Amino acid sequence: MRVVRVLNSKEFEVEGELNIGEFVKVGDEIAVVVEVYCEDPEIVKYMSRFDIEEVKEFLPDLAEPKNYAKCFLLSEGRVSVGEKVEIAEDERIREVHWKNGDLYMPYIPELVAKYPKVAIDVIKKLESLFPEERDVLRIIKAGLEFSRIRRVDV
Amino acid sequence: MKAIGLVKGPAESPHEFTFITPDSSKVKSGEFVYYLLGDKKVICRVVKRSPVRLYPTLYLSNPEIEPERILRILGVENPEFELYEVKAAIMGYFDEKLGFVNPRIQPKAGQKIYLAEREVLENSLFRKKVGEIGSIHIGYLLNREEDIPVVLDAALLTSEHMCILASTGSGKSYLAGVLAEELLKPYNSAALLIFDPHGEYHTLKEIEGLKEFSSDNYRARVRIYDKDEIKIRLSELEYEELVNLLPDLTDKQEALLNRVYRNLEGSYFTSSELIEKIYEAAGEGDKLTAKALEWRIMRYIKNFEIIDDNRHIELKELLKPGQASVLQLTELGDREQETLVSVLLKRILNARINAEKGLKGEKLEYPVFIIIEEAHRFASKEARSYRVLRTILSEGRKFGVGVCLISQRPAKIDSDILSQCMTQIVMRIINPADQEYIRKSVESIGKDMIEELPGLTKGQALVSGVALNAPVLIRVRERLTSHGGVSKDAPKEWIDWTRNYREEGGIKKVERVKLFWDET
Repeated sequence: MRVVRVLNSKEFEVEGELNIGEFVKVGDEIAVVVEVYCEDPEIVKYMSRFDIEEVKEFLPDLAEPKNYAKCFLLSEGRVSVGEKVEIAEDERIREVHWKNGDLYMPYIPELVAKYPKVAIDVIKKLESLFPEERDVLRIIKAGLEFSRIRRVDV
Repeated sequence: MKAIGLVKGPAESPHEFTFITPDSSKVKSGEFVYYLLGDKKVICRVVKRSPVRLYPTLYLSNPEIEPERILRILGVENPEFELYEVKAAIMGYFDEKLGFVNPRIQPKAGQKIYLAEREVLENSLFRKKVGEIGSIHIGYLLNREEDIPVVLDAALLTSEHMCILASTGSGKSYLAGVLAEELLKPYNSAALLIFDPHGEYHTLKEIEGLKEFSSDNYRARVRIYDKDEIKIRLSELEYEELVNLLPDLTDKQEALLNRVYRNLEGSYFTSSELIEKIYEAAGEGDKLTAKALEWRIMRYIKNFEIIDDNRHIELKELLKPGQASVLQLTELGDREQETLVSVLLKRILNARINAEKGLKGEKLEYPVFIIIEEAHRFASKEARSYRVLRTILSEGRKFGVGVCLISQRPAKIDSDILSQCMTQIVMRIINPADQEYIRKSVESIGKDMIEELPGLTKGQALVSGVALNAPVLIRVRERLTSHGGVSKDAPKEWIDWTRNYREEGGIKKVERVKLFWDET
């Protein structure tokens, strides 16, 4: 999997089949998948159905829809188009979230603003990685969940 | 001079504004701060302080986890949570002649706010310095770690009356003790009278042995009067007071008594002479009425221990400069106490009027100050002493009769009387009815000040009125004499008592004091 598009300083797109909430590694950086979608290749938009069928006979995968994943960068660095993307190991995720002897997740406010559901998934994942910090993570998670339902008239 | 905050903008009322401070410890409620208007320091009182931003409630859900840590984890290093928005009321800049002058200009947004320095406070809040003639040092400013003395003007305090209002156990008798001590120091040498219904002021006697209360040609004295020494002469009673002492008089009896009393009024007479005159006035036709009156006079007046045919307390013995006289009313009944207060106050006021106007009769040539404990018993509309107290409170100032009313139930004191107390010391008061009553009766105490009252602890007080330039919160200074109103330590006394028990044949007996024949 590779980075196919850099949307802004925090978000980029990867071509590949990933799941929302999955952690990926791009070089030294860690990101979380926030959206997945499937898209027809650009060329298909300019061809007729007949042409597509014809092209498919020679280049079967050219006209096939492709899976993309929008990722949100959790670390401080940057990524560039073409960089290799891999599923992140738990150890690396732990490293990124530990600074000065304490948990550190400064991306949460921004992530919550755009992808609140994913932010909760991230904390759930961290709960499993840092069982000793479950109490504080629970409070943060409860805060996020409460802010989500506050907007809904239950 | 370091600024402690910056002005944010105006508050709800025109004389209030808000400022922001990062300091969490110095700017307490009731503290004094100032801003500069040209070269003038405009002094303001801190009314309220609240954090600019509160932590989300959920962040406070686990006492083991500090909310700051959660914010750190989330990368929030915003100092907003450490900032306080402070509401301040403008008192004005201090002018020697005019007192506080409100400039009627709010400080500009962004203007610096400073904590008022010691000398600024001493020069502007108080009219006197410690130890100056006519000064009363009652304590220290509550909000400051350093001891900034709170000094009242004794001349205004004693002539324009004062009150000490507080719940039981807040330290009002202790404070009154401090006040008495200050009044007896050489720089005041007051003529002081204390009505003491609970026997709490006898410890003032210690003053006589303390060097603080003497100087080259001055030595303070304290006289304690107990029941046997407190006497009112029968002929000093007013007709209404006499009638009040004789219950259930019929119209006929009252008319006869009135007739006789009006003839005797102003002269000296004994109870026997009164009875004799009643019989004379009644003649044969009203003999039964006279007999009934005689029985009542013998039954009630003769049994009234403080009323005497001949003896009475000499005012000049009771009240003289440099002396405190403590009238211990502990053993007197309520009616006796009220009658005593009424009669004595009336005599004192008349003696002062006689002296001031050069009239004949008993005279007191110097102003006097009277402390009345449990004042709600003497200053309520129903009390026998109400009328004379009201007269003293409204007119006593002209004749040099000052009163200090002390009460734990201010709502029971008549509002006309309370509103005449021009210096108020209010300690912890929780009862909302009393708080509201104080707010209505005492002009100088505003709503924001009333809100401070439940939060005060023992020995802390709010002082306001004419004896100082602005209301302040104080902690009362330590007394030089011991406090006579200490609550009983019941468990200690129970333990001491049980230790003196011994068991004898299964029955416990208290060890009695050994007598000489026990030793043989």
